[in-house]
Amino acid sequence: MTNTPKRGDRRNARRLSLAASTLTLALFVASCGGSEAGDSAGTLTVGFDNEPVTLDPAFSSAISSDRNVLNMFYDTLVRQDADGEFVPALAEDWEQDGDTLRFFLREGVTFHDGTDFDAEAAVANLTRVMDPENGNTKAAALAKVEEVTAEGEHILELTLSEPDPILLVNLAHEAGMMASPSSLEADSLDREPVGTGPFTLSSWRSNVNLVAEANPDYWRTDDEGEALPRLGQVTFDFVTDPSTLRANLSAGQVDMVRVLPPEEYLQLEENPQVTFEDTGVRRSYYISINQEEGVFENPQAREALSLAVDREGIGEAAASGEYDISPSFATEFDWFFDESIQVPEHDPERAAELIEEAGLEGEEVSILVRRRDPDPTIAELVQSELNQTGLSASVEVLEFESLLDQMNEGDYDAAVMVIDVPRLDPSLTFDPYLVTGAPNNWGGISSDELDDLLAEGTRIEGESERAEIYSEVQRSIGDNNDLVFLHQPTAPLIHDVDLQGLVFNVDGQWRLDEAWFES
Amino acid sequence: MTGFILRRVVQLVIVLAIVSVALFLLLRLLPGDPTTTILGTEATHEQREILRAELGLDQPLIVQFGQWILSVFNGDLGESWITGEPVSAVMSDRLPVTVQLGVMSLLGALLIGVPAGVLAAVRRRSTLDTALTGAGVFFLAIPNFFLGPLLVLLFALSLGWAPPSGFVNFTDDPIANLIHMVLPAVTVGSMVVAVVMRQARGAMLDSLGGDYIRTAKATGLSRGRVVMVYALRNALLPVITVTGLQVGALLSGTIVTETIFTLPGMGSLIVNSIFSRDLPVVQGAVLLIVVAVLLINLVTDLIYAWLDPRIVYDAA
Amino acid sequence: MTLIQLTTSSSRKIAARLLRMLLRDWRVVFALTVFVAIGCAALVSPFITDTMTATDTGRLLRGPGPGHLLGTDNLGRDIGARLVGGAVVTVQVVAIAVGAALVVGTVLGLLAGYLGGWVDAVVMRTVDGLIAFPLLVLALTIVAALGPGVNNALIAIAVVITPQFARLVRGEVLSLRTRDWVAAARIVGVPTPVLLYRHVLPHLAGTLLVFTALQASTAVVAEGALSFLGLGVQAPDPSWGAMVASGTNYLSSNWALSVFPGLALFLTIAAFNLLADALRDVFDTHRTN
Repeated sequence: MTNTPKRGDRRNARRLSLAASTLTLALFVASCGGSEAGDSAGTLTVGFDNEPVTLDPAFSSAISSDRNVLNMFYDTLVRQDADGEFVPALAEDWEQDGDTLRFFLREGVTFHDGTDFDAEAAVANLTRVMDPENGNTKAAALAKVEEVTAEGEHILELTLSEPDPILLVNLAHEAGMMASPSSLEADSLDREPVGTGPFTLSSWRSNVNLVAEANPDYWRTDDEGEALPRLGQVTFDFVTDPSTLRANLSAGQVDMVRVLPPEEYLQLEENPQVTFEDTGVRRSYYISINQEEGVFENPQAREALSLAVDREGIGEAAASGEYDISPSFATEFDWFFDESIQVPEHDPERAAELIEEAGLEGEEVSILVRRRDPDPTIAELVQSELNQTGLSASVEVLEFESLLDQMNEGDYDAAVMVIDVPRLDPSLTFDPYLVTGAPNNWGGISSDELDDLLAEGTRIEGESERAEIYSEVQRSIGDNNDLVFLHQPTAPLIHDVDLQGLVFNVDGQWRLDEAWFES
Repeated sequence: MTGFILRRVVQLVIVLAIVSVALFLLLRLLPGDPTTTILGTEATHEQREILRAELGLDQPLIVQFGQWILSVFNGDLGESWITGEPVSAVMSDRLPVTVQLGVMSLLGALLIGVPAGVLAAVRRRSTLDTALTGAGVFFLAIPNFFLGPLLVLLFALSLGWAPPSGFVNFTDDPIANLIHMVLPAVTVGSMVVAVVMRQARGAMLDSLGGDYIRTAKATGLSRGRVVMVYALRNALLPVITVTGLQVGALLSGTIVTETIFTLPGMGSLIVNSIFSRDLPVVQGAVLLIVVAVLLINLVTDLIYAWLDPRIVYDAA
Repeated sequence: MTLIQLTTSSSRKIAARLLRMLLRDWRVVFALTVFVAIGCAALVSPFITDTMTATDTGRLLRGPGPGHLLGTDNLGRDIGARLVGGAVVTVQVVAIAVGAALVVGTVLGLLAGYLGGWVDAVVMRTVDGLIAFPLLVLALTIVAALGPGVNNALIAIAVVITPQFARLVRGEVLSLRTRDWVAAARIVGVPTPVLLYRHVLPHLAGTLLVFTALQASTAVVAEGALSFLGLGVQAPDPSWGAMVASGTNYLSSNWALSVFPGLALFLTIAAFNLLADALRDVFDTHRTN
């Protein structure tokens, strides 16, 4: 039933619409994608569901999606490519010397405000992130950095208190993004990003859109030495409603969509103008459980919850069958994925027995869920399944901010949540949710065993050694039902077939500096 | 007349004072914590406390109210708790969309409603009258949150004549802008059309039955001339009043409609801000809407008074 | 005193005649049919709670057909059963929210109009303040402050409609208060509450009836809009507005999900509007006679 008004080449259509006002209405509709007639460099419009709260990288909070936007404006010292290899960026080279990490910075790079990028600027950026007093959200990423100094105009030195196997990972992303010192001074980055990145901010209307123009002085070139970026303008349209996003994509109003639930993207499969790219990103749905008070304080009740949920059924209803099942946040492509860990079988009878044994029949539980499709659908299914065990469940649909607020207060029994996986490193995936007192550990998980394992995971080096530790971690959460993992809908990147040159991070998130439209 | 205007203005000021107190108190009762919104999920308790002090949330209510009112008078509606943008800037961005939607639906409603009502009155008890009245009943009874999806289903998804949602700036591409606004305007305007038509029909019937019309007819003026010149002129007066009173209903309609079609107007601004607990924006936007409604009602009253010599300005 | 008795006994006769006139009007018959249907649905609904909330991921988004007459929704629940269940909220809106607004608004209007002075000033300024808000804007603000849920939606709707009743009643009272029979009653010392109840209120009955029907239609729309926006009835309880909202995501795969509850709302609102029209016609004729 996807109805695509005649979609020829979008720029052709646009030219037509300018030329002839006598065209049919349908063609006109096809022509209103993008904004004004683009120059030869092309204009890309992205449908984006998770508008950033701030464009200050040190204060950004959405772990995966903010970076899509931040990458437009900021560069980092090093980049991590899709295979996990580190490649030069603002630093042309670097060397590790015991506790010292030395970066040799690229010369001739300027910020959008015209000031030069040098070691002093880098020091100002990193010191700001390291300062725990200013409330930035990335301080933990540089926790093992003791001191940052400029050893010359273009030499930067980091002194470490202990080895940190994931320091470069952190420096290659938000914690290492470089902003102009004067805007750090003015503390104005949240609405006016000034970096060295491929695009400059032109306008940002909250809940509406963000428009970025190509940075004519961008330092990077492609492999042939041609100037980057190739796109002239990028617009992010902020739309949360998935069916609207799908409709806009299908009508050519947007060229790319960050995330669509399968229910919506399956309707686009027949559309020849749209292509799907599985970048390995999965939406990992899980239930956060309050184990400090209420019904789920009882381990039997948590086990009952885990047995009561029909993961396949939920996947059918909320992901139209396009999902994986995993026993944790790990996806099957992750190096720390352990296929020997079992996903609990759907067993409503046993769940009901457990509730009866625990004497919890008729007890009330509230399930919180974010007001964004298809999440409420999932919560309603969980509710229905819990009611069959003998509990009396209610669903509370809340805006995200109130939901987190209520969870921070511990005022909930269970909450249906979702994160994008994989993340850059398993420590970033597990620590915030499992370490005692960690920011996203809303349910009060507190286990010395788990804490020790997770600390060990960030201390030792070597993938296979670490994989063993994270296996233990996953086994432990499963055994205690600390979190109940549901399904993992596939989240392919969906875009116009003519859009080429997308570059991906190791976690499947994209960059636009090399993107262009094929004509 | 001056006394009348003065009295109405004083009334308006009193009402505004009540509205602002009510608005302030009501929204302070909102559940949730804006610091989560601003700092995100990974902030500590201390970071939240610091921010709360910065936002003045630790002050007594009365102080917060005083500060708010004072700055409102200075044209400063505060800053969004989420984006840090001045509320007035956010609103000036959104207002044109709602104004355009309102004007388009109101103009459409008048252009369709008045002739339809006049026609129905002139052809009273004919099939046309019955059909028009039936259509009126239909549009009055169909909630716009149902009509909107129906229009999308029919004109966007099935026929592909119009985009299902979205917005293009008028300055970027006027034609695309109008195409995007048609379905929303129909959705908002449907109810107003029905009200205007019904009012026009009623007023026209009254007017056609008036003594002066009979006189005019007796003097041998043509029927068309009688209808157009005499009856219509008298019938328009109540239509204007009723249309003025519809502005509130129209704005209620834009809230749901902007949400359905994802238009960046005042309505979706209010809904979004309520869901993200952005109190200054909700306060500012609701206040602006109320002021607009009050002013439009005042203007309607004045126009009515000015047009209708029968009104006694000094009545209690 | 004879004067007063005469009014009451003759008003009874008039009421009987009006009723006969009304029952001959197709609009009234239509409205009553709709109301009876909604009432029956509301009465049946407690017995089919399980059917209307039972999810089944094996039968998602089925179109109308045997087994599930009106099809199933995105959770595999029976749309027909949920349609029946949604009637409960509609009944609550009319009986509780509109009922409360009618009583409170009328009392406030009577007092303000009859007593005048500071009572009038306080009541009417508050009324002016509340009426200045567009209806849905005020309802939204109240629900946002109190939190979503059916009870708070009912409160919001009652608060939004009450001033409408107060303003109407006050206006009527102002013109009635100088009438002979009111003056007469006041002079012979009838206590104010009795006077208002016996000698003023009955004369408002017709106008109030028409107005209540209109406000009921407004209230049903408001509840629908609140639930549509997700601030009214909460899952898994059915509400027509919420059903329309969840159906908008599936317009192309199962239109039944939005269309049936939308039709139910449409018919309810039309019923109240037509009833108001019919009542108005009858009372107008009666008045001019």
